[in-house]
Amino acid sequence: MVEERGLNPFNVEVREELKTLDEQLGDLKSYEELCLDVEAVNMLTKVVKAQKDWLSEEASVFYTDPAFIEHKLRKISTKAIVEAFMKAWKPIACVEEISKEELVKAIDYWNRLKPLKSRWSKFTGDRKLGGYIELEELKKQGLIIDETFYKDLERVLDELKEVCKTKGSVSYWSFISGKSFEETVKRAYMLSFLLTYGYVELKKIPLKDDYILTPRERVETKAPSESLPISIDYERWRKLSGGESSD
Amino acid sequence: MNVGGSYLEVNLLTEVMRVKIRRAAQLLLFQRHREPGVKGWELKRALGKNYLKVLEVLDSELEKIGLQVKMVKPKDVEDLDKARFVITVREPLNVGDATSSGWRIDEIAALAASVAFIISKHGKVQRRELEEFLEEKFPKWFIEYSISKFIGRGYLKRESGGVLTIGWRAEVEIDKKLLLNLILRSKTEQG
Repeated sequence: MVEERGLNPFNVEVREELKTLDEQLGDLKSYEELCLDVEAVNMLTKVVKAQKDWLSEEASVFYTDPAFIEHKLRKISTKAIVEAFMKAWKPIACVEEISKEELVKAIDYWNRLKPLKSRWSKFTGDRKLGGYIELEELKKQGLIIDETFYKDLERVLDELKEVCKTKGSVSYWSFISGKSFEETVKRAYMLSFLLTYGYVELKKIPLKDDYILTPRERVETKAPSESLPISIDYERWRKLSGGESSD
Repeated sequence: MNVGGSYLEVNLLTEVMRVKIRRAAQLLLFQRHREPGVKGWELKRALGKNYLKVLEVLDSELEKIGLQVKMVKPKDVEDLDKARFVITVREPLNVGDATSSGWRIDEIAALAASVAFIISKHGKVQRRELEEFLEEKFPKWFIEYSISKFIGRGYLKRESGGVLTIGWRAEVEIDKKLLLNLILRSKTEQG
């Protein structure tokens, strides 16, 4: 939060927070709790970094009260701002001009370039359309999404909830692993939608190439979304289906 | 013979330096990439290990025509190879010069206000917050267009989470301390 939104990092009492974490360390038992503890320490180091940047920024502008600067900016005329800026602005000098070498390259390109007619003919030649495909066929092949897609999503979510009923969470790789490679890919695909829509929480397991999945009520976050590519190939599926470790 | 030899050596060295200075000026003045300026490693490759010395001599030559060589290093990076070198004007321009080079007076004002506002917020501000601030003096369509232009030209930098920071170009071209000082000393509008 501090890092992203530029809030004052000194609002966080790092020493106090570290003390609290230190006191609670002895009570932490599960692996997940220890992971959260590490994450909290990591976040505090980021706050310390933000504090350092904050101080550097203040030093670089001979610290002046930000509220006063803002007030002043709102009150002075546009002309005064421009005049001040022109005294502090020394723009870059550069020439936007084609060099002799580039000109020679351009002439060479032009000489080698075939006429548009001959280049386009391969796209507009006597090609015939390969025929038509029915809507039902497209749906069958999964190229068009219909209502069954959403039913499938619900089915995967129900399945996840069922698996997590006892344990609370499940490993990503063990959940998506299916009887065939196609099924595994499809489950990963469906799961990606559930994650995007906020029905499932995904957490990285530190030091392991795996994640923890936890079903939850739909959460609409205002924070920017993040992408997490997870690749699945045939070899990996073979290892998974053969009962070997995914590490 | 010795004296003649040394004279020849000095002359040769001067000639080599002259060639390097000309090359450095070409590299720095002619825009080669989308963004102006040349990275330290590119200059090292083109001018040799003593490229900083070459730039120093070039700087003193450029002084005669009101230009200077400037270096901008990425934050927390000490390696000069990663720094960007550019040529900037040595003395500030007047408003007429800026408008004749394609800047509108209201764009300059919006840029000045944006940079000063971001500095006042410790170098980071939500785009929405900056837009609201500028809306006091400029129409909405103009603000959106201007902010995008400032980002495109490197004056502002778009970070994740809709945050805007000072861009590399503003770091090179704008004397932040002087700007704030002048703004703080400006007379406020009556009423």
